[in-house]
Amino acid sequence: MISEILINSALDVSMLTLNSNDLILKNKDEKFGQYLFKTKKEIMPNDSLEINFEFEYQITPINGHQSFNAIVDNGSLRISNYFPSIGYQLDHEISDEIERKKRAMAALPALDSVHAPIENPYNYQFINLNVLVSTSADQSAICVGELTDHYSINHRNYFHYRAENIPFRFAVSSAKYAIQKSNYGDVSIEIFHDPKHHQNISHLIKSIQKTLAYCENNFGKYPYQTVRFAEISSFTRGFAATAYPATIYINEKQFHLNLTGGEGQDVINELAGHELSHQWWGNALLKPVYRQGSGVLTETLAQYTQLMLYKNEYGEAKMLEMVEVYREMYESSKAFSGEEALYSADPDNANVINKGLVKMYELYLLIGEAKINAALRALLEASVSVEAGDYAGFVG
Amino acid sequence: MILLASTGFYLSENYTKNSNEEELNWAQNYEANYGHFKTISQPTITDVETTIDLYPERNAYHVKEVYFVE
Ligand SMILES: [Zn+2]
Repeated sequence: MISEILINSALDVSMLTLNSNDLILKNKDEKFGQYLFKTKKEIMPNDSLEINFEFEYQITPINGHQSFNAIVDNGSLRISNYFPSIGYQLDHEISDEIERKKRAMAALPALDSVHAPIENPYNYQFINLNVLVSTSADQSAICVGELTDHYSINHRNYFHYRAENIPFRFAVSSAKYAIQKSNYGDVSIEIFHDPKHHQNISHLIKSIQKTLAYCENNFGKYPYQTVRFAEISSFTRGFAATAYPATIYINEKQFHLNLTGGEGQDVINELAGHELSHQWWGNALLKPVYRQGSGVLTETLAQYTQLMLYKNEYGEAKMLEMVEVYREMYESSKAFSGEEALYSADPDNANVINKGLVKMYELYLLIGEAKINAALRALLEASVSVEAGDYAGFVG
Repeated sequence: MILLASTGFYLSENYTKNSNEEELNWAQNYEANYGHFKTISQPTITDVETTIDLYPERNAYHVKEVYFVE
């Protein structure tokens, strides 16, 4: 039963409207962007109610430094971080233990252990997303899920996207994109890129096709009709690429690298393999409960998939080179902060990427690719049926 | 995701911070004022219906949306 709802608004958006026929505003706290509502009647399980919002965002010198969220010319935006959220925001808390001590604040509870019980049924908090994005007449807007419609009215371009059962995490980008299309079976492949950055497109498309083939053959069907890669401005600093349902954003720095430039790596192959495999590991198909070890089911498995694809493309010797790159990072972090077991690793620690790849390689030597992939396919099937509400097969 | 830099990315706070000290004070006060909501049951968003109007030429956007919660 729910009688009070706390809504959190991002401080650097201007909230223009926030209302609901089912709620009464009790308190508005601008300093913290908090809106406390009372329900007109108690909400019982399975009652549904509507909340309406309208807000604006404008880059100013004060918030301009938040480059990842910010919309920029030819840029991209994890806009879901700016959408209102409900309830207490754990990520607002001071997480640094020393700082908390200094301020005489109680220590934060430790990250849930891998053995901690999970509520059953677990609330994945997945959403159905229905979004109409518009942008200026010379640009195309990219969002997540399937594009169901697009048209132009009054010198604006409109793009209608839908996605079902996805985590609350979505992004948009807008740019003067050139489009290159291809396909893998009935999956449409679309590359949205800066018209000047065309040199790696055909290689990217081939890498996507190989990744789809490998993941579908070994793990299960790709869950969407479209694979979309969109290049975004290097102004959105701090990441090379990131995967959302059906859409993967790549930083332009990675996108138009000179691959023949002599380092002997194939970054496009690595990126396509890793990021596209996140459609199996860490998005709608397998979304582990955040706790110790959960990063193994996302980053470590994406690293493993990347490694296998690299091996299939370039052979065992080149695979070993990749293993050595990650082994070095793993060893140096071990020297600095000690060994951390993968199964209970902090999911935000790079160990799940570096040590993860090395340990998956060792597992590959021990039992082989076929056995690993059979186990991963079974894991994925179990996860999909649990998310669909079939718990019986998974308990124990 | 693959990170270029090892830190900084996860700190995607939604609030404006003018200095580190101010930001930490804000966070401490937020926790003090709202921490009791940690244990108060809250509804879950099930559907998001939204229009997002992007204005790249002036680095701005406008959002209208409905949340369906239960
Ligand atoms: Zn990743």
